[in-house]
Amino acid sequence: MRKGQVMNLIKTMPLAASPCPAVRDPAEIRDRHTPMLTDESRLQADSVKTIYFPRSVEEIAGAFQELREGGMTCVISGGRTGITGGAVPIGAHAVISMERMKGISALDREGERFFVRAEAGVTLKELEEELARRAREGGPALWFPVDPTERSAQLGGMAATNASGPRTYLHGSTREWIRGLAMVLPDGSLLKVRRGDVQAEGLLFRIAGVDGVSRDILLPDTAMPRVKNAAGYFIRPGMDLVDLLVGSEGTLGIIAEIEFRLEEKPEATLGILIGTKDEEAALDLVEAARKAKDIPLQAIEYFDPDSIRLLNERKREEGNGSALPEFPFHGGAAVYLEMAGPEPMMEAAGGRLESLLLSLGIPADRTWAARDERDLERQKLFRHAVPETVNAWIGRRKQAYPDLHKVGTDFAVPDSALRKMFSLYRRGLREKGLQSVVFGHIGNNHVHVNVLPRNMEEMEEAGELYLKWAHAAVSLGGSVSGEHGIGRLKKDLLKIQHPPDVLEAMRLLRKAFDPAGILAPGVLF
Amino acid sequence: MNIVVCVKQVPDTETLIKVKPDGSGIVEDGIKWVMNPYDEYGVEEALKWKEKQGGDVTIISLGPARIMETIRTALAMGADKGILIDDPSLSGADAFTTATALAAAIKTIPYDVIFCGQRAIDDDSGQVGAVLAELLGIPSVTIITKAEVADKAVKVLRPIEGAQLSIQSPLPCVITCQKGLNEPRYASLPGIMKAKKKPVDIKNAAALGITVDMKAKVVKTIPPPARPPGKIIEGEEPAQKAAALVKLLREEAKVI
Ligand SMILES: Cc1cc2nc3c(=O)[nH]c(=O)nc-3n(C[C@H](O)[C@H](O)[C@H](O)COP(=O)(O)OP(=O)(O)OC[C@H]3O[C@@H](n4cnc5c(N)ncnc54)[C@H](O)[C@@H]3O)c2cc1C
Repeated sequence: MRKGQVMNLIKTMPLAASPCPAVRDPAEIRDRHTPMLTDESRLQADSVKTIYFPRSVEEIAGAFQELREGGMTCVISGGRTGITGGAVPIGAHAVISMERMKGISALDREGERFFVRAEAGVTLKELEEELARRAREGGPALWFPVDPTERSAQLGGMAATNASGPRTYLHGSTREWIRGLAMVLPDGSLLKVRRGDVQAEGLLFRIAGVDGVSRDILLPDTAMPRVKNAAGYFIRPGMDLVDLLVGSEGTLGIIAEIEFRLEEKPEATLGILIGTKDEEAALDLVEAARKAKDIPLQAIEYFDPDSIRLLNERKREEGNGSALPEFPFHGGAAVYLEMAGPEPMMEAAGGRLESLLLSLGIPADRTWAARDERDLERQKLFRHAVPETVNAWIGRRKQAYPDLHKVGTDFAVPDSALRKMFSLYRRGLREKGLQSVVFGHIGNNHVHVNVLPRNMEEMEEAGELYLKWAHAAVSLGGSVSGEHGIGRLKKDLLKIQHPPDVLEAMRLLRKAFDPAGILAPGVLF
Repeated sequence: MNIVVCVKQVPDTETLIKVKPDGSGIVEDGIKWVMNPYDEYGVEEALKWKEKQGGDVTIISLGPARIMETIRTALAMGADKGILIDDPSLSGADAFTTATALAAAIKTIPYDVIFCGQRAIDDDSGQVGAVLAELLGIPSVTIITKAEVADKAVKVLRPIEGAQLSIQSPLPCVITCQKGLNEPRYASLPGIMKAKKKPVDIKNAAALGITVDMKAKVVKTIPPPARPPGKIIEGEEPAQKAAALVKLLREEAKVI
């Protein structure tokens, strides 16, 4: 331990609380703010007493003051694109919406490195547009490569769920791009921290409250799965405090501002959709592509034959007016590979990829390659259409069975367990005779198995399979949630991930930040 | 068979078009440039003919340096070579000047058939193909949804109101392509890799021996009038709202 340099003491600053703009009229909440009562999980809260719209950390502190004084609880609402219901105020008195915190700082340049500070309510789309605007005005062309698909997600929400996406294969998850953040704690104080400021001493943090008392926070003694992971708090001996706050799903405090690292946008991008004759051939390709270190891939995505069939069906149904690009190959599965970098590198790597495909017996005419913006956009449309179409399918089934919902996995496993996991998925689905669509971030061994239940019996069977797979994923060293987080919907899975004593230690950790239990009742545990 | 395709680079239909404050044109900053969709049918048809008949496909385009991207896109689909006509004196060229430049470039190479889009989606003028045929002294068949080669002739279908014309033309001729002619292919990985190495000749007005003689000039570019704001019908009961809607549709919108 480098005593005197890095501290394990979490110090906060008092904030001058100021009254927070809020909507309290039940009729107005009902008529104008119904979206605040739900999110992409489609969970639904009946109503809340108050919706706060803070514009500054002082106003957040003001909201917290009211909540403390009234003995009330709240959830934090970002872009509400989350799919596990963390932002839905079920069992909470209030919502704190971040949508009015929209500031983006000037660029900080340190040598070759760039940083920008953004308030939590800035959406991914707004950040991208602002970066593009600055680039047009002569600034450097920069990007934040983590792309969780849904551009209306807020940066605060992305930090709170440690969002990731296809490019996480190369660029990591949101966590890796956060240098520091400012969080308002439920006691109304401000915690401002950068990487390197506060690190656990072994498993021990201490937190100094505004009341002057400092308490120990003992982290659970557990190993995190060494895979893409958004299941519960991130814990590691000697860990940086920033890593704990990122991924805390709105249970420790409100992330008010985030400092992101940015990188120079690559000169060229090459996206290649490859048709393989079946799933087996796709898995071969994935493993070979991962091994080929001289091909700098930033994304490896998978679409099983059922995904392709589903899209083709939709395209047929939509007829002539369909905006969906034609899937260019007949039958089989598909793998999407993406790389980016300077032109000469793309040139060389593209050539190596050609020979790799040749060596796997994949004909050249079963590739769809895109390098200009519009073609890349077309491929994206195609890729994004899969989850959309699944949701539409479920929506139609719901008309016959209102309680029916999608059963979709978010398990990630280590490289070595990829095939094992696939054979478990396939065996389970076959034995139960269930319809499904499998797609996702196969580069990280993180595919979404979406069961499409035709009736309630099938949904129950799917639920059983789901738990069985979760146990298997954990025993193979994986995570029950690669990216969607636990929220309200996956609490049972967190219990599969961690034994009771670890969960208990996580509860205590949460209590140290939020002794009165104001934040996110019913989320995580 | 020597096949030529004329392609134009245009703003993507998704791009938000802004008119310059002085009305002298559109703001090009931030525009996503793409190949004119009707020209894509031309490229696809050319590649199909080549696959059947053998031969090679030349892509010709006129515009500033950025149009190289569009030529490369066609080369990635499978065309063999390109000619890029770039000259400041040709900027803002009208249909006649464009056709003159294209004709001059085409005269330098052998050709059996020339494909154009039936029109470009930016200025919608729809004249270049026909004028080009005139300048070359060959026939043109326009707005075509089907084309078949037979010996030294081509049989095409041209949809007209309520019917289709079946037309036969000798080759060489100009064919302008309409939606429905084919499904343009995507580029393959080898296609993209090879495209970078395919030859593209860059020519200016002097090299083509043309002098600019504009017949038409864009006097002013005017944005369409802003859409009037929408109306939200307030009310508690659906029946009440429906009645209000019917009233507005009849009395204000006058559509029922
Ligand atoms: C079509 C679709 C595709 C998606 N694909 C992906 C994907 O590939 N990868 C992925 O990771 N996710 C994906 N998601 C999920 C979602 O986009 C991410 O989880 C996103 O990061 C959530 O951001 P948000 O602002 O919408 O957060 P919300 O949904 O509003 O909130 C999510 C959680 O974060 C908390 N929270 C929000 N803001 C703050 C804050 N400022 N401080 C503290 N806590 C906060 C909330 O209380 C809640 O618990 C997808 C969603 C959709 C609809």
